[in-house]
Amino acid sequence: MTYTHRLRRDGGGQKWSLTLRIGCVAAAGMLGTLLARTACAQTTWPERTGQQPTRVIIPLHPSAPQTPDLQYHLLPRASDMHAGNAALGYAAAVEMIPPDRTAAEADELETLRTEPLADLDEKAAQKILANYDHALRQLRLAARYDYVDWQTDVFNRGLDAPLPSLSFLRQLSNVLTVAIRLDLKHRDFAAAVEKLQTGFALARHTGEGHALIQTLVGAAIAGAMTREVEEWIGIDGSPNLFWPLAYMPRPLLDMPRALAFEKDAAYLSIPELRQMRARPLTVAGWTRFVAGFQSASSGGDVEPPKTYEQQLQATGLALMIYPSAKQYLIERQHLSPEDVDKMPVAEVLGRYFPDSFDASMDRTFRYVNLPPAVALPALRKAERDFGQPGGMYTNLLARIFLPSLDRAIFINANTNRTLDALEAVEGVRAYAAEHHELPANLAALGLPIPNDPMTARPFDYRVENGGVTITSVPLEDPAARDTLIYQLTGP
Amino acid sequence: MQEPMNEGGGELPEELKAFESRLAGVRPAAAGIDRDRMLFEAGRAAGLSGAKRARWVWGAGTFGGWAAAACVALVLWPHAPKATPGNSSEARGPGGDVGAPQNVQAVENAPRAGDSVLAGLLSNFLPQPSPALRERNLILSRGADALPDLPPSTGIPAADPLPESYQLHPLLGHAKGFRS
Repeated sequence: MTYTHRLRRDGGGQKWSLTLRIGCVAAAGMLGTLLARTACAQTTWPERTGQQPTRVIIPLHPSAPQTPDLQYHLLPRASDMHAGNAALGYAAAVEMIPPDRTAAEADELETLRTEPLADLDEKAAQKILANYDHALRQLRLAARYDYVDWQTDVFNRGLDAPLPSLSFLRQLSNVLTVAIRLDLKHRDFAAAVEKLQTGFALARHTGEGHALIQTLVGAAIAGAMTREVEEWIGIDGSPNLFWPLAYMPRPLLDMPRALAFEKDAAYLSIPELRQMRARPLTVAGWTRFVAGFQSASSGGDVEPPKTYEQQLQATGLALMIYPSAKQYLIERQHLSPEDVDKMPVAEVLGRYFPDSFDASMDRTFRYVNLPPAVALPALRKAERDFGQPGGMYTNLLARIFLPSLDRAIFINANTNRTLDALEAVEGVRAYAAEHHELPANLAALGLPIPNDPMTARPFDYRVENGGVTITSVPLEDPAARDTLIYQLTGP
Repeated sequence: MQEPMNEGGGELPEELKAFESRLAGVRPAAAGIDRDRMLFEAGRAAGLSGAKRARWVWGAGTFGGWAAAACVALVLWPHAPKATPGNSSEARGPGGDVGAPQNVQAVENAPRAGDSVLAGLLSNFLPQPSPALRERNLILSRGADALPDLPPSTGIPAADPLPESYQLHPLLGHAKGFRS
């Protein structure tokens, strides 16, 4: 599904005849549509469903880099920041969201975010922005604190710890994009870039949580902001953002911290699992572990089982796991079958469970901090292997706790890829402004263009039909659903 | 009163001499009772006396146990997940039921064929991932778009709405004794 910006022409105040007016309006409409589809400033992109390649069509308007290079910053400057914890500021901003939000308003907000810039209903946008005035001011303030500490109680409660109000933060970022769009429509680039700073800072702060979900929400907010950058680039006469994009930190979001938490989330959620590694397991310890396991996997949503139920479940699980546990100790820990037979059942389970859990988790997590071009194919294979029935020693706990990581890694890498590709787009605009022609290849730009992080190779660059396409096709993406194409259309 | 012994050292009659020599051959034996042996013998005697009754009770108990197990199997069997090889790989796919409990054979690599009834029974002991855990796995596999949207409010204003700045100023003014 695509949509195109269309120019809106207001009629004059002359008293024409009805026929003439209808004819003129129809002609103007057709002409407007024709212009919109051919020569006018339009940025077009499909709805990013993740099921098809993302092709963003941007009209090519040559634009020389600014002087000084970093006249615009896409993140708040240090001199504009103040000491403090941004999380408190964001919490206050969430509190200021208007309480009388309706479904109709939510629909209207979605329309304002996605309709062509030329069609943006300014009155409706201003009305929503007025409702969110306090919240947006507070958001601006919060985004300029110098650090964030969400103070989620993950080290005591594991996955049971409540997360920040992620949906509300996303809601605020959506309203912020409406404000940016209004600025862009008014060609007020200085105001737009200040709000982009707020949005990108919000994305980074949101991503600095312990839960991977936070990183993904941060990536979604960053995605909304890069979409506005695309819109900016599509406006004739817009300032070139090559150096501001180059100055953005990569990776934009701090993912390793969240990945480290997710890897040990089961240990943080089930204290008995930690204790199992420290001392031999007893029957009572196994029963406590199963109860803790059940509690962690149910998120405390269910009534805790009675004692006899716990014992019954512990016995049932022990019966189920014991054969695999024995086999594991013999084959992986190299114990003799006789020694394993002599061990109490609880000891066999205690030796097996944490070791096998780590083994199952490590086979996936060992790849996550590698560059995405290496990590993504390896992760996909590891997750395919993990899903195989009869996969080697797949641990029950890992089955429940191991998330699908390749998508999360891709989404994070995609944020950086988009910034890198937009940098290349701005490089082309700068070259065209200086040389009045299109560069033959990216090397001709004479600018530091990053490689495509999905492949660790230069972006695919083609000059065709008087325009340019810059393409990124991730490795092992036969359906090309993760492909990103920037198509710069010539005048 | 005892009669004094023959201190004169007179000779004993022949029949007493023979008795004396037999007495001299007697050695004192260790005192006590073999309690283990006694308990064993007592148990065996009791067992033998009730053997017929015991056999009947054990037979009935065994039969009853098997009957109960069969009933439980019949009741629980329809709820047990089917042990099909494709389940586990589909469960982690984008369209799959992410985080759902897997079949027993896939979960713990249960080794023996013919255990399907037992596996089906045991699968009832598998912990079920919570809705929150399922949601977390779903978001991580699909991205933040899987986050639930904010539910629209009822449209009824909150009881104590945030005062606007123009409302605050008069309040502050009155509190400090100033006129706004």
